[in-house]
Parts: sequence; structure tokens; C-alpha cells
Amino acid sequence: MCLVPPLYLSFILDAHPGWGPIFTGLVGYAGFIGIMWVLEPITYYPTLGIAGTYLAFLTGNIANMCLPCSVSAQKAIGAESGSRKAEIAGVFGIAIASLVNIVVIVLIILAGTYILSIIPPAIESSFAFVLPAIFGAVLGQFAYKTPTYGVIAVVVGMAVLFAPIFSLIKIALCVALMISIILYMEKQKDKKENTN
Amino acid sequence: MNEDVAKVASSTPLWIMAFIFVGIVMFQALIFLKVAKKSAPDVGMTSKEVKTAIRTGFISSLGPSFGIAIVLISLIALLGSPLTLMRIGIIGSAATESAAAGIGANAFGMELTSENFSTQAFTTVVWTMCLGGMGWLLFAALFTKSLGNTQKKIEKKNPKAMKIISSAAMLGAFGYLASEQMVTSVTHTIAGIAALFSMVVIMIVAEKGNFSWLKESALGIAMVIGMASAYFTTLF
Repeated sequence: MCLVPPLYLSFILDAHPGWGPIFTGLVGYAGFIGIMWVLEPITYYPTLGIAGTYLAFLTGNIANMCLPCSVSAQKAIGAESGSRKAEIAGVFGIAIASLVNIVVIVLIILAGTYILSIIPPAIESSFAFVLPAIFGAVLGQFAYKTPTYGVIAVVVGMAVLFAPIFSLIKIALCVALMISIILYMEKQKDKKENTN
Repeated sequence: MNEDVAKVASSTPLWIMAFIFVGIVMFQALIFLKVAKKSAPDVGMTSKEVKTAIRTGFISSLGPSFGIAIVLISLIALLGSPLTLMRIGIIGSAATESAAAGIGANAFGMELTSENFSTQAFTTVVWTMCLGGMGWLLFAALFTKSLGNTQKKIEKKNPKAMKIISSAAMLGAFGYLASEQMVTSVTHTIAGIAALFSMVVIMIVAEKGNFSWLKESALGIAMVIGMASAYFTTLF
């Protein structure tokens, strides 16, 4: 089902880019987010329950929407986390959140299409900087608690970017390096706390 | 986006597909609501509690849904409306989808914002997003049952490990993606750094003042600050 749009573009509109780039894209994507395919369901499962996990992953926006909605629905009726009652309350929270989310997104997209058609060229030309702005902002979101990690992330990113390695694995390499560096640093922190 | 790509990206078939996907998600959400309502009395939930749960879900989803408005509009500028609806309405989040779009374009050997971005490049982006997004669904569908055990095992060994690993992975990925963007030009560097710093400031302020609404629209605000500062430097 998910594959209908790309198949349509490739074979009906005849804009097939060849399997090479598609494979490269997928490997690049998996190198960046593949670990999340496994980690996220495991992390969120205890709060969401089976039904909640399925629905939340179908809707997306788990960390910033489904999870908080599920938790606040559970808290609102005072259900103990892990109980059957909490699971059902969570399903209510997520199902309603999914519906609200979709309605709002459809409204924004319809409005957004119109807004984009009337915006002045000055604002339009600033859209050339969407990507550095969004990536920088997301990096800030993950780094604000421990700025040191943010600095390390940029240093590692730059180093790997300029390193003469196969570009296919660059992101995966960054992810692996950051995980090992941060795990090591957290271990050292724990050791320090234990000796004090 | 050049005209050929724009035409394809907002063509009727893509709109129809987008609305079908959205319809499926809404349908499933309604089914889950119905099943949950039916089983509510069995787990000791009163109808008053059902109402409270629904109302709470409604209120707490408004913030995050509207919070991504700015991000959505900028994604429309990059990818067209139907694809944005398809990806953000289901499965994806704004941050991962924009990263996926960048990776897909690179795989075809192009920049998303470059002038000769072709329909082939666009198709590569769509493939990357759709195949990549399936990963979660496949994993969630195949392993939901065994997740409980895995989770307990990891918790026993190292309770903090999962949280650390997932945020470290995101730091690594976005550290690279941001670096890659920032080396394109000085203006790009300014956009990235301005967005990064405003995000850090916004998050710290939101945390101190306990403003959840600020946290939810932080990504949009930080992006606008980054884009605006980059734009102003091009004026000189």
C-alpha cells in the first residue's frame, strides 16, 4: 500500500530513477534512522501497550504527540501505568489524537498551499535555507540538555563529512560513533558518581 | 521546485493517494475507539472516565498538531502538498521526513533546493521516504508481541541505555546532516547556527517556565529565526 506512490511515479509517469539511487537512498535512510525502527517500539511499548503501539506507529509523531496524549489520558483518570485500565485509556488518548492531528494537518496543508501561492518573493527566497535551519534546530533539540554532546556531534559530523570514505555509510558511521562516544562518557560519569 | 516537478508533485493521482492513506489512518483510529469503548466497562472504566480520557487526548493533541504548522508549510515548498500530507499525516515526523528527503535527493546526486531538481530525483525522494517509513510499521507489526520481553531484558541490564542510545543516534545523524548543509555556503552556516542556538534558548526557557506550548512550536520558531537570519545576511 505504502509503495503505490513511488511505483506510480516510476512506472506510470515514467520517471524511474533506476534501482541504484533508490537503493542508495534506502541505505542512507537506514543508516540514519534504521536503529530507531527497533529502538522506538521497544522504548514506547511499556507506556503504549500493544494496541497503542500499533496505532501510534501508524500515525507517527510518537514522541511529541501520541506518547504525551496517552500518558495524560491515563493520568487524567488516575489509571496505574501497566494496568489494563491504563492501556484502554491510552488507546482513547491516541485514537483521538490521531484524528485531531489529521484534521489539523489537512487544514494546514490546504491553507499552506494557498499561503505559498501568495507569499512575497523575499520570503520565498529564504526557503532556500530550510534544510540547514531545520537540521540545526533538531540538533539543538537533542543537544540543549548537554551542550557538550551537541559540540561533539558537529565535530564528528564535520570530520566524517570530510573524511575520504564511501558516502553511503557516512551517516551510519556518525550514528555509530556518537553512540559509542556518549555511552563511554556516560559510563565515566557513573563511575565518578559512584566513587564520590 | 521547477515547474515539471511541481506539476507532478501536485498532480491529482498523488492527491487521491494522499487522501486514501489519510482515510485509512482515520478509519483505523475510529475502529480502535469503538473497540476501546466496548472494552472500557470490562477494565472498570466508567463512562465519565471514558469522556475524561477522550477530552484529555483531544486537548493535549492540539498543541503538537498546530506546533508543526511552519515546518509543514516549508515542507510543502520543498515536496509539494500531497506528499507532505502523505508523509506527515501518517508515520513520519517533520524532522525525519525532511532528513529523508535530503538523503533521497543526495542518492540521486542532487540537492533538494537545486534548480535542476528533476522528476527522477523527486521519485527517488518518494521511494526513500516510503521504503524508509515502512521500517517502523514492519517492526512494530512483527515484533509487538515479543517487545515486552526484550524491553525487560534491556531494562535489567542497563536501565538508562535505551534512552541514551536513541538520543545519541539522533545527535549523530543530525550532527552530520547539519554539517553537510552548513558547508555549502556561509549563509547556510548562519541559518544552521542561528536555528541551533535559538532552539537551545527556546528549550531552556520553556523548561524553566514550564511552557509546554513553547516546546511544541520550538521547531517552527527556531526554523524561522534561522531562515530569516540567513535571508538578511544575503541582503548585504
